Amino acid sequence: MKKTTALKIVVMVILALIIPLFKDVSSGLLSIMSTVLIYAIYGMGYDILYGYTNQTSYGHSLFLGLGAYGFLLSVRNMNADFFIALLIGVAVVTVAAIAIGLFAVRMEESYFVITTIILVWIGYYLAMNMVNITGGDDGLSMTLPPISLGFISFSLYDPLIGYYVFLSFFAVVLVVLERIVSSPLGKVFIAVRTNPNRVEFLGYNLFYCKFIAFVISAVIAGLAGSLLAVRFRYASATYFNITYSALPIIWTVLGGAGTLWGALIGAAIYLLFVYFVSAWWANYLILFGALLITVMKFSPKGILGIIKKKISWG
Amino acid sequence: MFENLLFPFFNGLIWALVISLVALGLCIIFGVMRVVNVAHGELYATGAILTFIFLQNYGLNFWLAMLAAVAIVGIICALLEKFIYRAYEGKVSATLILSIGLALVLQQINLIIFGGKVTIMPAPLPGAISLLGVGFPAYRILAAGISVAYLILMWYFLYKTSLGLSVRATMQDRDMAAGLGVNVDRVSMLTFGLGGVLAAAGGALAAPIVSVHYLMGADILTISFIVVIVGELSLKKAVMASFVFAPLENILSVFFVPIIARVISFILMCIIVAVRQTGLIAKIRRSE
Amino acid sequence: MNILETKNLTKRFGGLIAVNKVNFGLKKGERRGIIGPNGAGKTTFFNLLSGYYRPSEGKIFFQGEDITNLKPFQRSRIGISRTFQLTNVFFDMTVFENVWVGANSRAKHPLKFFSSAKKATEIAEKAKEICEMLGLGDKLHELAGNLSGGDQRLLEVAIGLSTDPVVLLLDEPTSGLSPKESVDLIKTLSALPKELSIVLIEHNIDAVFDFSRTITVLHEGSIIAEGPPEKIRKNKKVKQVYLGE
Repeated sequence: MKKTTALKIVVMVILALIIPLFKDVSSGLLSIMSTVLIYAIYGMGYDILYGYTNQTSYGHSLFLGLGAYGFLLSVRNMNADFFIALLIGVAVVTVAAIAIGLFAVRMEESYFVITTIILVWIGYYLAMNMVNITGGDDGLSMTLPPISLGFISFSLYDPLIGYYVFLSFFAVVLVVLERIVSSPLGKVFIAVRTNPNRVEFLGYNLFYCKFIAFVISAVIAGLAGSLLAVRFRYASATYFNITYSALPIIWTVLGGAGTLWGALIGAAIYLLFVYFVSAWWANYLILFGALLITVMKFSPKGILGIIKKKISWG
Repeated sequence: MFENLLFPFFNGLIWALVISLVALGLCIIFGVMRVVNVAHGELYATGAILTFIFLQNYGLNFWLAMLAAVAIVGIICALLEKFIYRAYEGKVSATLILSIGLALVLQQINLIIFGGKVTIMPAPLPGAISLLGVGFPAYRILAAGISVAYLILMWYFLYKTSLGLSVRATMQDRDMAAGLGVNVDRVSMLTFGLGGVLAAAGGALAAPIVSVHYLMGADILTISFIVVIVGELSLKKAVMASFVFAPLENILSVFFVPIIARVISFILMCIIVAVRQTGLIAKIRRSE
Repeated sequence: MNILETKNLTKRFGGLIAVNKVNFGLKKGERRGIIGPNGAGKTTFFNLLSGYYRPSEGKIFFQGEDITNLKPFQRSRIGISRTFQLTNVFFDMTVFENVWVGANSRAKHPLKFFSSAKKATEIAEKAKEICEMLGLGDKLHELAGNLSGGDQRLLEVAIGLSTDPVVLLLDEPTSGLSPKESVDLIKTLSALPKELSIVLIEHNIDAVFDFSRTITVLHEGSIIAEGPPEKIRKNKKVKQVYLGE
């Protein structure tokens, strides 16, 4: 598949070298792309769950919010440095994901969905109510810790540095997930998605396979949450809202589920659209809702699915 | 102390009836089509909002407005089943995504036609009636009566008519029902329409009690799901579960902040489910 | 000692008894056929053996051990493999990948994620071999969903073999195959290692009589006859059950 690898490299080069050239033209583009990269991380993690093992969680913003607050509160209350705060954010999410996964992943599909919905609402209600801890709807802000690597220290207040930090995380997550997807585990995931019953008869513990996918996707969502807190120097209970659970679904379905890159495409389209349109049309979500339905009905494999078809037709 | 708890308890009963209607709708949609209808809250909100608009802008009296709102929602839902959901029946992830899309579209439409305001709808029946030394708003008693009427109608339809029998048969075992000659497509369309009617009716009835707001469906959605699960997919048990949940939440609200009361109620209900979980899993296995 | 044995195995669905107090014993390396009219309980019996159903009564033993409470994936791990009457392959994956999944489950680290799946050459070789053995060697990279019905049945068998089983339960493997394909398949199955115990459910009487040393006849959930093919052919009860329908 040399064509697709070349394409991927081109995209990465654009992201790494071309986009930053625009940093002065309008800090807007750099700013949007920073968020796109973070959202793409969130989306890729979700793709592992939905696109690769066909588990549709509608409560992933629980992990997004936990990651955001894990990072933010560590910085605010413990003056943690960047990496420690990140570690804490991810650790909190990992514990939650394991605890939830142990009983939720076992359930039949629809009960799994309903459970994630109930859990994220509990999280949202608690976050909205515990204003002293979370700042509720208004949220809390933080001063960004610098990133210290040995003798060098970077300030995250510089938008260009911030962009490269997010790009680096995006690249790392992408490489790790691509690795997983092409490994035996990844192939087993695809088998689970294709025919979960048969997989059991071949000697795989279906629950365990799905559980691994669940935890991986949750941890990545948590990472995205922490990065989101860094990006906006702020976290609020809104991160737990169910709309943030719908977003990765929109991105992966739109871009193409089960491809990882679809999440990047979906997140980019979403954010660019919101950036350019939301100022004069506040009800843009109606379009994404309609898009979800349309894509599911006419092109369930999303944009990448359409592109792949076009390529194979010559 | 007793008087202090009586009013919340009474409110709890009214709330339980509203929840019953909405949860019943969710339950039949889930049972017949295996669709996790996350747009159900939006259907509830649309019922309230359309009623308000017909009342306010078209001068219809409350009952006609409610009837119109409920009918519109029901018809739209039936059409949605036929043209959008039908191809994906049984596929949980696909129908979930469709429902999410529907929820977003409905939510924004509600925002467009109603705006972001929070409005209290004037009670169609003003005044209060005194019972046991406490004054209860007359409308709420009436709304309770109408909810009960709806429930009785539903019971009659499901248990005393052959079409209702088809619905229940499809809920039990879709393939078996199809094999026995039930037109499961028509049943699905009817069910989705009926589910919409129940949700919208709940919203319309609740409108004069709670405030009308384009996001009002959010709360009732999760409550309905919990009630359906605690009710183990059985229609009667879902109604019973509503009557456990609502008074529970209302009474807890006396002691805790409403949000915390809700969370505690959720957690208690989840514990009930967990305790009976083995029975539930066996039932799911058998119904597959 | 029987490699696979059931004692009083019973499965009820509500009021319906699908499998009724079945005592079944399979010796190591045996070639057994199971026949019976539709609804006799043959597939239900396989579902019980493979762990898909929990028995209402009775026990199942494998190599002397009670496995009645083992889950399907555990039964596969100990060496019981089954195929399905209705083709149940991984339709979105290639022929090679289909067989690879099963073969990979026997790898030391089936769920490893730190190396590429392509590098697992042993597994890949095994998968290729099995495909070739069943005549699918030239279709390795075709999507299972695009195969002909007959080839999909062959893939079913290939997947059944991919987990290196000790006992192979084949549910109507020749259904959907042309007469020539059936003959070829039976030939391939007969050539499988002697240590592999195989149980074959079949409606194709010639195929199953050709293949099996012993035939078990099921009717309404019970074994009504058991013995070598010639004896079963002449068995009055069996004839009545098949012709009297």
